Amino acid sequence: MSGCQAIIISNHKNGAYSLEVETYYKKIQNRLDYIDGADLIANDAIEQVILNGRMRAYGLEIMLKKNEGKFNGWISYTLSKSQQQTPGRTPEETGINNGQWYSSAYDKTHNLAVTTAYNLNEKWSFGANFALQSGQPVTYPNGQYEYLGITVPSYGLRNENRLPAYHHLDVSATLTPRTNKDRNWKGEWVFSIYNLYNRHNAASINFRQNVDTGANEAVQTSIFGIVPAVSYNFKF
Amino acid sequence: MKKATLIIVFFMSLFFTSCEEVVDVNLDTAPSKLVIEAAINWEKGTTGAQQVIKLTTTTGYFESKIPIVTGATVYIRNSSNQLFTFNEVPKTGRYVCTNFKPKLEEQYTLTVISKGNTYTASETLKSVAPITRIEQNNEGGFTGTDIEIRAYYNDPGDADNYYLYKYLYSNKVTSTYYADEDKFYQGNEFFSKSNDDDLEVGNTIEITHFGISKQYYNYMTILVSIAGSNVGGPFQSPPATVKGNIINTTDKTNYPLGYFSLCETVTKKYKIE
Repeated sequence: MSGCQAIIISNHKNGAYSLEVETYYKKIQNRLDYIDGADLIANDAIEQVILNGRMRAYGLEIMLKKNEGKFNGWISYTLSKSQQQTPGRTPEETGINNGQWYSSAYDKTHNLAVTTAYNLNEKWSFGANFALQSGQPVTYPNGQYEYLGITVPSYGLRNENRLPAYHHLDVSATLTPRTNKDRNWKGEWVFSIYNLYNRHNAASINFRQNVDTGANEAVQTSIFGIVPAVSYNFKF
Repeated sequence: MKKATLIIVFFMSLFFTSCEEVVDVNLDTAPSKLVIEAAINWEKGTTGAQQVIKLTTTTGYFESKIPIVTGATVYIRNSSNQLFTFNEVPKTGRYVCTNFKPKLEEQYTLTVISKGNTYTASETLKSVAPITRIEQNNEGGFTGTDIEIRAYYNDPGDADNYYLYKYLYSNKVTSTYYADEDKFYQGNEFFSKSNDDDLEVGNTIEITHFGISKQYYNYMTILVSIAGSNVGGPFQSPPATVKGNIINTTDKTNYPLGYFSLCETVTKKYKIE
């Protein structure tokens, strides 16, 4: 793979606040993708199921920071596009999506992250994170048919659909005991909850035929729900 | 201590809740395509005169009924231009021929005319080796406790052969298919085997071996992969529509799905002991 990248950065600072704006454009050559229906298990000729293509990615990143005061943190937002083009090797081959540009697996149109901290006093400080991202591009079936009694899904173009939006809110409270002052051992307790409202973010959605009823169904796999945690950090 | 145990149980349960759940997804439905199931099967020892071709269309992924296609013209010609007409059984989407003449290694051409489009395909009828014996192994499967059935045959050494195995279990709704090639057992004895962890004494299995062409082997391998067990795994095929050997000669871009295959078959029934 080879690529080149152009970036423009502008930086403003005004007292406690700073604003950073960045745009980028990136081109990558020799980006490989699997052909439609590629079977990788025990395949001794992988070169027959991949195609050579190219990739382009561009976007705008904005970050607003508050650096001072009891309450500080930042908001960052990225608007971006990441696309691939994989034509066939000969005019007869259709390539992937008929040689048109299509979303790569990493394409995230919107990406919002908010990170805040509030230092109440020497003993207690609090933090909160919020992340909101467009779902990953995926290929959902756009129909089904029956062949030899097998129910077969049929698909449209690759990466035309998206998983549901990904978001979660995390909070934490840090307790720094006053006894720290007079000793070398400096410890702190962190009480945190990841994914406070127990959002089931989809890692993937698969489509299958239910073996008991014979009906088709969509099955979402999600990894973390709400995760409370207590940790103790120390320095010496 | 009791409290600590409760807390541990609570945290553990969080990790295992709702890893997988059935969800509602709004799917788009593409304009329907014609699906041609022209699977001509000639069971060893029969005349093979009665054959059925099914015409259906694609439908929305969550629909429970597959639409049928009526009013089509369906016929097959052999290499000496002999015509075999398939007549429609009203309101079933099935087209039946009662005077088909199967012949090994003979080239046949299928024509389907439906809604102003003409679809054609050519394929050769392939032979299959007979099933010589069936063995039952009570220590099969991953755990060594499942019942596994093997159907043996002798692969002919003078040609590259391709096989399709069909297992129909009395304890399952759908039958399973597996496509195989003789690359690693050319001219040797080989077998197909069952893939059902829930087999019990008294269940019956219907095993069918089909002799298939290399192209049909490629088609069925991909079809079986995208239709079932491989979905969502680490080696998942990129999802795509698999195209068969039937061409729409009126409008090439509006390609049909399905396949025109001609196979000699052997079928054996077995009851688990």
